[in-house]
Order: sequence, then structure tokens, then C-alpha cells
Amino acid sequence: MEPISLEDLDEVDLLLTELEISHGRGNIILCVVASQAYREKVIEVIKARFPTRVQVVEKGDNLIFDLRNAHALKEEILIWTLPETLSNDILEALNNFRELFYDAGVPNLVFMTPAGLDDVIWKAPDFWRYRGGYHILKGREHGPAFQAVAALSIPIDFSYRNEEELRRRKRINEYLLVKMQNKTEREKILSEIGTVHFLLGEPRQAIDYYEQALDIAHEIGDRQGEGATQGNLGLACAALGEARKAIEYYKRALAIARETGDRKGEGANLGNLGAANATLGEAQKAIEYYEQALSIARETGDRRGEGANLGNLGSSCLTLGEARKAIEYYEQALVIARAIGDRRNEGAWLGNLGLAYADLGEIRKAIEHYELHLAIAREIGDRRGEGNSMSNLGNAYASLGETRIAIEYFEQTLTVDREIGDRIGEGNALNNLGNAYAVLGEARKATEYYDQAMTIAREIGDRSGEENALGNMGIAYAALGEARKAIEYYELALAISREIGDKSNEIAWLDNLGNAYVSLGEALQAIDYYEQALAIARQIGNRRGEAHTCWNLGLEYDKTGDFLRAADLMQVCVDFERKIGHPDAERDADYLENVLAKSRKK
Amino acid sequence: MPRAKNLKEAYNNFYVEPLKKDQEFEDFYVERPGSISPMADLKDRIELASRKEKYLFLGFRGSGKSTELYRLEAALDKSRFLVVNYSIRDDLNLSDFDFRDFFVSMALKVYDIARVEGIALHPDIEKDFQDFTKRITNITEEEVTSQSSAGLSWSQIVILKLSREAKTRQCLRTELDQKISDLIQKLNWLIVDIEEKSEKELVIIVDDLDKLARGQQSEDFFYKNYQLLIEPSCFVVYTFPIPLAFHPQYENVRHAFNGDVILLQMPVWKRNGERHEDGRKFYTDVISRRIEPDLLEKYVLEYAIESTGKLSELMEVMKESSLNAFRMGQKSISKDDVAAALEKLRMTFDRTLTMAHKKKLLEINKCKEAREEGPDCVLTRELLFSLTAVEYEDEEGRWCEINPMLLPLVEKWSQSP
Repeated sequence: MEPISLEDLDEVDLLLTELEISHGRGNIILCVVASQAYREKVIEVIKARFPTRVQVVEKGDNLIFDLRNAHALKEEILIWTLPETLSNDILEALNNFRELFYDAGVPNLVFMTPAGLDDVIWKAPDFWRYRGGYHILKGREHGPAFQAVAALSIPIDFSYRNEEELRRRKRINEYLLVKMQNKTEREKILSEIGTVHFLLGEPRQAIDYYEQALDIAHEIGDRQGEGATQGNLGLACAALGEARKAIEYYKRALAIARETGDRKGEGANLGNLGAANATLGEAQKAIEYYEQALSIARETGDRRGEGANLGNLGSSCLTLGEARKAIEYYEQALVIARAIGDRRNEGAWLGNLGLAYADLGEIRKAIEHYELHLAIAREIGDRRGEGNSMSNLGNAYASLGETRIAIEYFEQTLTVDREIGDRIGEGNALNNLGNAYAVLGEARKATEYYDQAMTIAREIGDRSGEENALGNMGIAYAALGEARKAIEYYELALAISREIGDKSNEIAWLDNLGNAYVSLGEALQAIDYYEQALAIARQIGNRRGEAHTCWNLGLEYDKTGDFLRAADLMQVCVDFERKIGHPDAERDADYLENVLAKSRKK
Repeated sequence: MPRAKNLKEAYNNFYVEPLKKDQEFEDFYVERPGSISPMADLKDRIELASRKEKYLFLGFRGSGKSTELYRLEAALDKSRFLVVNYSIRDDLNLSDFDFRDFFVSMALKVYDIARVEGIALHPDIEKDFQDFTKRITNITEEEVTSQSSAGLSWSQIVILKLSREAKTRQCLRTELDQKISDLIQKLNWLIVDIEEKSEKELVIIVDDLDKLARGQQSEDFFYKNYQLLIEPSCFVVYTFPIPLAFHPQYENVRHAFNGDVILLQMPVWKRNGERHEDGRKFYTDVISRRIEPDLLEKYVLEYAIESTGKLSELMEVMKESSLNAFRMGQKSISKDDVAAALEKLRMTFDRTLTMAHKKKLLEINKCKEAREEGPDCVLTRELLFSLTAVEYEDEEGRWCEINPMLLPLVEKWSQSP
């Protein structure tokens, strides 16, 4: 599950504080988030702290009706999620019925996009003025692991070295705009000023200029210019969190590019459509667009576009559990990053390759890649990359059973995370250190680390971090032979995983509960938990979880003498391991053969 | 609401809703300095007038108009006056607002006061009014019977139908197109009958007319229909959106009313750049009424006052500052907490203002005046609506300033062409 971005921790903490101190009273608190997926994560953090009710707002009338009929419980937080673009009826409902939020008698947290905030300030000024605090979250920045490189940036045909150069370019264009009467020239100038604003992180102003450029393009029938500007408008909308609006612009731009035979523009807009769909969680759709974009980038010799589309395809595949396919894409993206001298992305693709190999159980190979990533991160001064690669190295050595080396890496990670103030990273490092000490048999020491990790997770409202620490606590107590205590912690972790909808971890805790009951000799209880885990794994299509649980269940049925059932279940695991080329596949196949032999004897 | 003794209470005491209850007035209300307060001005005018006068009450968003109107209601001599104080937002759909709906709702409010005060209207006047409203809203006997049994009064039934059904509003508007004078006449019959029976003069206070969200909506209402607004035969106080006063047509309209009373923001600087001590004292008192002084570090309040220069924004910044301080585990609000709250707001405005707005703000900052260049130009009104520009007044006259919070951006804006 994606954590709250490091950059936003303070603001999220402030938001939670505000919810806390206005608890039980009417209040309006605004939260501005560009991505829907990130909004959901923030909502999870809030849900972990307070009882909440989420209301999706689609129309102004419905908002008023829902407000009047909220009947909130005193301890509740009402969360309202506004659509990415605010219609007039919603803005008017907010403005004219703001008292209803106060009448609800509980804090109301209203989520909107950055574009929505602009509209609220200008078109719902009373709602804006009578609110409590407002919190603008930046969202997760693109990092090295499992993250797509920003797909395709706005097409620019000029270079610049720094902000000052951009600002100078803007001044020159503004000067020229006054002098030039020729419409074609004016269109070009307006479009360039828009792009400068976009590059300066001012998408709203960029839109102002692009729209002016678009008007002229219409007027003089410049179809190519019109297409380019439609695409740019899409990018600016995407930057404002208006992904659906962006998609509309990209589609128009795509149509024009096809009509005018502009292959490069066609490729760029397809890539952008992929990125916008990925933002909306439409991974399969995103892959389709990336593939089309890739083929055009290759055809037109656009190396940068080719690399970005390949890397993005890799990340989409890894997310979908297709590690081998991901590796192929990352390898190709890596070649291109090296060819065009893009060091940061070279490091990023290497790190991602390591993760994909680790996913396949090829730990040594993963280590090689993490080390390469670490070297580049140190060379270019990328501290976060340094921390991530060391953490990955620690995990890899831990998997190899070289726990002392793992501890060294985790300690270094902890130092870096503390230096750069990465609280989530710090919590992860503490959890990892706890795991490592648990493996060394120092379970009491492990619980001390888990305890620190749990404190951090609770402080920053990181429910999934808290869940991990609790689960690890359970594992440590299991190692100490205190199965009942372990069960208590697993149950707590299980409750959080269910609360935040973390199905993968739910499977893991159910599995561990099964294991704990196995150690207590309570086979029926154990089977019950394993069966629950298996049902979820199958329900969500988690093949890894399914295989693992089948194995555990198989072992239990083996013990009970139900060899046929045991063999059936173990076969599922062995098939999966062979399919993904897991190194344990043949060892487990041998075990399965023994079980089958027993069943034949029987 | 006792004065806040800790930061959590401070956060909750810094709210920008109008004061309504006696206790709130007692705890938080601060009299504005100056020779005569706008509320007292209105009260005196009403109590002294020999004719049924109509007034415009102007003020910026969040400057305290509703609070002053509640005070006016409380201050008027109850043995002489019967007050109907209501907000147009109570009953009308502001997103679909029309002057015909407005007068129907006013007549219903007047009709309702008779019921509340136990005044038996003349049966013919009452029946005539009921038939008229029934006709223009197409209410059936069944609707009246079923909703009456649910405990709703006649006026509530009509208002409910009007606010919920676009079709009913359309029907009413078509019906009233040629009959608006009929409606005014029936309203005036009600007024006369109520005044006669109660032996009191009726004062209608209409709040939140300045909340008409779209500029065009409020322009249409006030500038196309102002002759109707002076028709009711009782005292009426209309709230008026101050940005409209910068419209070239305002001068023509203003004279139709018996007075325009303005609730301006208290300045913190004089026009000549000297400190405005009275204004500063006012803001200091407002905050000091809400929190204990030891919750504020030295000079913090002065810094917040100078940087906002407006009541609602001062409250907003102090609210956010108390949250910042609370989260950091402090005992009091520091200058850094205020600076962080101000910077956040400043950056938000900087991001949303267009270049044309910024240019206009620079012009206002330079010449201290805000006038539209023509009837089609809306820039100044937009700035005043959003409170990025504000009008002040002291004994030496009126002038315009940009929001003091934006002053640190002036240099940056001036440098970009």
C-alpha cells in the first residue's frame, strides 16, 4: 500500500490534529489532493484514527439532501469527496448551505482537487471564508521503487538551465506579444508563455495562455497548432488533478494528430492517455495506451518517449504481478537511459529490476542491481535513493539468511532516514531491524524495535506501519514460544488489515494465526484460518498468497493423514513456483512426491 | 462561551459565524470605534423617521453585517416595532434566484409574523392572500391538507414547494410576470393590517442579499428592480453587496433609497501610512475577548492584525495559528505560527489570481482607488468579492487598499511585466 508522501507528513499530522480538536463540533476542514488514489490513502489514515463516514458528492442537490440527513454520531467525522471538476450547482450548494455543515455537529472534511480549490475561492467565497483550516497535500513524488518515471512531459522546443532562464524567456515573449500583430506569431508566443508557466509549476496560468493560443489556432485554421495546444491543455489539467478533463483534451489532440498525420504528437498523446488512466487506477487501459505510444515512439525515433513508455509498462506489469515481463521492459528502459545519459532513471530502473528479481526469488541477482542503484544514488547525491537501495539490500541479505549483514544495512538505512526526516522510512527500518534480531533468536530485542516502529506508526497515523509492527510483534512472540500472546498481536494486525482493506496482509496474518494454532496443536483452528486465507487469496487473484496457503494447508492435511487432499493443495503451490521459476520449486516438488507416494500406499 | 484558557479552546473560539445569542454578544461583541456605529445609525433613522423608509446596508463579506443586524433587531424598541429579520438563504434557492420569488418570500414572512404574534388578520385579506399564493404556485388542496397535518404552516408549505420545485418557481414567475404589482399590493395589505392590529410599526430586515453568488444575479436584482424594492409600505433594511457599489450604476440607484449605511473594515493604517490606533484597538479587543492574553506571545497579535487588516481574515489566521501552536505542543501562539498561517494563505491567493487581477491590485496599491473602467469591466468587483482588495474609511475619508496579507507579493508582481 502506498504510504503518505514524506512531504505531506506534517500537513497530514496537522489535519489529524485539527480533526482531533474539533471532534464533536461542527466544522468545515478542506483537504486538497490531486490524485484519487492518494486521497483514498489519506482517508484510510483518517479512518484509522476516527470513526468516519464517506459521502461521495456528485450533484449540489444531493449534497444538500445528504447534509440535511446526515444525522452524524457525535464521535464521527463526515468526509465529503467532491468530483475533480466542480459544477455550478455544487459550488452554489457549498456556498449557500455552509451552515448545514456546522449544523451536523461534527467535523466535516471536504476533499477537492487543486482546481476545485480555485473554484471554491472564487465561486463559493462564503464557504471558503467560513471554513476551519485547509490542507494542501502534494501527493507522493515519483521515487525509484515501483514508480513510473513521469511519462511524457510537455513538448518543448527550447532548452533552459534554471528558473531564471525560464523567467527571462517569459519576459521576452510577453514583450514580443505586445509588438507582434501577426496571428500565427501570436499563437506561437502565447503557447510558449503557457509552456513556461507550466514548467514553472503554474498550470492555471498556463491554461490561460493555451486557451488564448487555441482561439487563434481555431481562427486561422492551424490544425497542428490546435492539436499541440489541446495536448498541452491536457497536461496542465492533469497537473491540477483533473485527470478526466485531461483525457478529454488528449483525445481531441490525438484525433487532430491522426488527422494531420503528426506521428510524434499521436505517440505523445497516447502516452499521456496511458498516464492519465494509470492515475485513475485503470492499469489495463494504461498498458494498452503505453503499448501504442511505444510503437509510435520507436517508429519516429523518439528515444526519451520510448524509454519512458517502456519503464511505465514495466511498472504496470510489476503491479499486476508479472515480474518477468516487468524485467524485460525495465532492461530495455535501462539501455535507453544509459544511451541518453539519464543517470537518475538509470538508477531507478536498476532498483526496480532488483525488486522484480527479488519477486522471483533471485536474491543474488537482486543484490547486484541494488548495489548498482546504491552506487549511482551516492554518485549523484540522491539520499532517498541511497536509503531505499540500502533497505532493499538489507531485505535481500535477510532473505539469504545473512542476518548480520542485513542488520548493518538496516542500521545505515535508519541513519539516512533519520537524517532526511523520513519517518515512514524510519519506521520501516525499525521493523526490519526487529525482524533481523528475531531471526537471530533475539526476540526480546526484536520486540523493542517493533515497539519503536509501532510508536512512530501511531504518531504519524500510518495504519499499515502499525499493522506490520503488530504482526511482527506476533511473530516475535511466536518465536519466544508464547503462541497465545502471538495470537493476540496477529488478531490486532488482522483487524487493521481488514479495516484498511489490505487483503494481502490479511492473508499473511490469517496464515500466521494458522501457524500459531499449529504450534498449539489445535489443527482444526489452524485449518479454519488457512481456509479463510485461501478463500481471500483466490477471491482477489493473489496467486502467491494462494500458493503459500495451499502449502501450509497441505502440510496440515498431510499430518491428519488426508494425503490426497494434501497433495492436491501442494500441487497448486509447486505449479505456481515452477511457473514463476522460483528456486524452491524442485525441493517442494520432491516433498509433494513423498506425499503422493504416501497416498498411493494408502 | 468563556474566554479560551488553552489553545484547543482558542481554536474553537475563533469562529467566523455571526454572533446571534445574547451570551455570545456578552462574551465576544466589541463596539466599533467612531462617532456613530452603523447599527445605531440605522436604529436612530428608523425610530425618528416619519415615513416608512428603505435602507441599504453595505459591508464586506465577513465584516460583521449579520451580527450588526441581530443587534439592530435587539435594540429596536419592542413596544413600537415588530421586527421580521430573515435571511434569503432560509427559504430561497440562491442558485435559481429571481426577484419574483423574493417578493413572494417576503410576503410569506410578513404573513407568518402575524401567526407567530397571534395577530388575527382581516379574514378577507388573509383569504385573498392565500388564494393568490395558491394560484401562483399551483398548490392543490390535497397538498395543503396533507402538509398541514404534518404540522407545517401555510407559509412553510408554500416556501417548501417553491424552494424544492423548479417547475413551481417557473409557474410562479410566469404568473407574476404581469402581476407583480398585485403581489406588492397584497403584501402592503398584510403590512397595514398587521401594523393596525399590533399597533406597532413593521421593520423588515433582509439579510444575505449580498450573498447572491453570481455578479450578474445581484446586478439584475438591484439594478433592474430597485423601484420595486422601495414599494413595501414598511421599514425595510436590505443588505447590499459592497462590490456592486463600485458599479457605475450605483449612484443612480442609491438615491432611490432613504439611506445607505456602510459597515466598513476597520483600518490598521491611515491613508497617509500612519498607524490607525483606533482600528488596531478594535481588532485587539476582538481577539482579547476570545482568548486569555497569555496564549499569545509578545507582539504576535499586532503582527497578525497588521498582516490581515480584516475581521474575518484575522479570525481565520488566528484559528490556523492556534492549530499550528497546539500541534507543536506549545503553550502559546508564536509569531512563527502566525507567519506560517499567513504564508499558506498568501501562496494560495498568489496561485489563483490571474495576471489581470495582479495588475489591478498593483494599481490599487499605488493609487488607493478602485474604480471599474466601464460597466463591462468586473475586475475590481471580483477583487472586492474575494477580499483581495478592501475599502477602508476613517475621519479623513474612504480609500482602497490591497489585502495587507498580499503586500509581500507586491514587489514580485511589479517585477514581472
